[in-house]
Amino acid sequence: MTAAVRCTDVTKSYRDLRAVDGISFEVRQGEIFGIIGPNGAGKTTLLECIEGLRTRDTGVIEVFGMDPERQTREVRERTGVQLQSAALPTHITVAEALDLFASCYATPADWRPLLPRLGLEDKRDTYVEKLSGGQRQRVFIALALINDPDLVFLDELTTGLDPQSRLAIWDVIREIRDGGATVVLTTHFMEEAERLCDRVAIIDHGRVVALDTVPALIGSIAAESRITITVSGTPPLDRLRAVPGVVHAEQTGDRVTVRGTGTRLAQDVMAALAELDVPMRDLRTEQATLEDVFLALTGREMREGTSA
Amino acid sequence: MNAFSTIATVQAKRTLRDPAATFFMLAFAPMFAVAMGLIFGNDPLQEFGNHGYLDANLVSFAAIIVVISGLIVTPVDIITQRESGALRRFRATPLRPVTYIAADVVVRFVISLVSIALMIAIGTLAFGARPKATWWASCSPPPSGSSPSLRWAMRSPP
Repeated sequence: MTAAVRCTDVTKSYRDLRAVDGISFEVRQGEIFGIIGPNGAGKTTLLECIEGLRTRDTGVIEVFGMDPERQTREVRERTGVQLQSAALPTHITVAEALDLFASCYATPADWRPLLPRLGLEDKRDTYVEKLSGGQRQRVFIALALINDPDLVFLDELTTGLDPQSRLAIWDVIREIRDGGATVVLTTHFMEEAERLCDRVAIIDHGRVVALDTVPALIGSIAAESRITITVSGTPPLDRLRAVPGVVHAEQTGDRVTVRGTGTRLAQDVMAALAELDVPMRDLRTEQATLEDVFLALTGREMREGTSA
Repeated sequence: MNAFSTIATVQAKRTLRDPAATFFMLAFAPMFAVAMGLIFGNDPLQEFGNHGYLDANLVSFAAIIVVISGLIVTPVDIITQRESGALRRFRATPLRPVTYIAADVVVRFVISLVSIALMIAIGTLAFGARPKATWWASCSPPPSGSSPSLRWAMRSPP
């Protein structure tokens, strides 16, 4: 299958700052591909080079086999873009905005079915500037989908949104993927990448420091998981310590805490407790996250990154 | 509708919904003609070669519309759109910049034309002015103000 996006040794500098420093990767068709990293890592610059909105210094970028700088209009007919910092002309309604941007494409999709899908059916005659932040972001998603694109770019789509709006937008992004389109998104919310992305590229200082599925990235750092359970009585902790992968087990009051590694840790601990016939409730697990992956790979917290 | 007519329609609506743009681009010239007519009248005066004040000056008021539209209203709107990222959103589509520029210029031209026509109508009908100019000379300048700034805003990187 042809890659939706292929980048080879892409670089982009702003004077002395190398924002994108020799990045290479492929985005497969039909996946949600996340580009994550701290502020200033080069995510947006890279995305805008792929979109053809910025000129790369060196390297090769192909979108469906086309160069976005040379075959700009052909690429834009097949892609939808949501920019990190963009607005719409003032004093226009949602319906007018959609009409306006639909007219920019040779074969626009009918935007009317998008409104109920995005929860905007009662907002079509509302001025865009009167919408809430979440509703406005949904309008921008609608604009990105208005040409029924094969590839959608979403740049920090959920930044500044409340948790409820964020969850709603995640559902929309999954729907886009399930509809057959490829999604490339940038985010600095690790939870967003973990919950949404099929594969993730972690970027730091303009370089890809890791690229894989989220479970594989988390598994690669062999970080410990933690399981806490409320139990009745006193389970034999030695039996728990003997479970494969367990490195530590302790009991404080009626709470048992087990730490260990491995993808089957939780199942094995639960199986051991079930075998011991220990009544238990309130199971909680804490696993390594992409934050931990970033920390392990770079030695820095994600939020320590400098602003773009 | 094609891109040009859709952009022109939406641009016309949003311009007329903006109170400041509507006032300065559409209402100002007729109101100015009324004000000048009430202040100076149109009685023949020696310094105007025995023509009235409005006979001699009405058409030159069009220059005020050109200046207001081309140097104030249009650049402010374009800068606001550019700063907010609204123009950049168009760059992410296959739309040719020239299509947007042409539609915007035509809309501003037509609004200015209507304003100037109203102004001349008020001057001639209400104050009996007989303007000393050709109609096409009065109407030709309005688009010139918006085109260069639009070209700059659409092409230069943010």
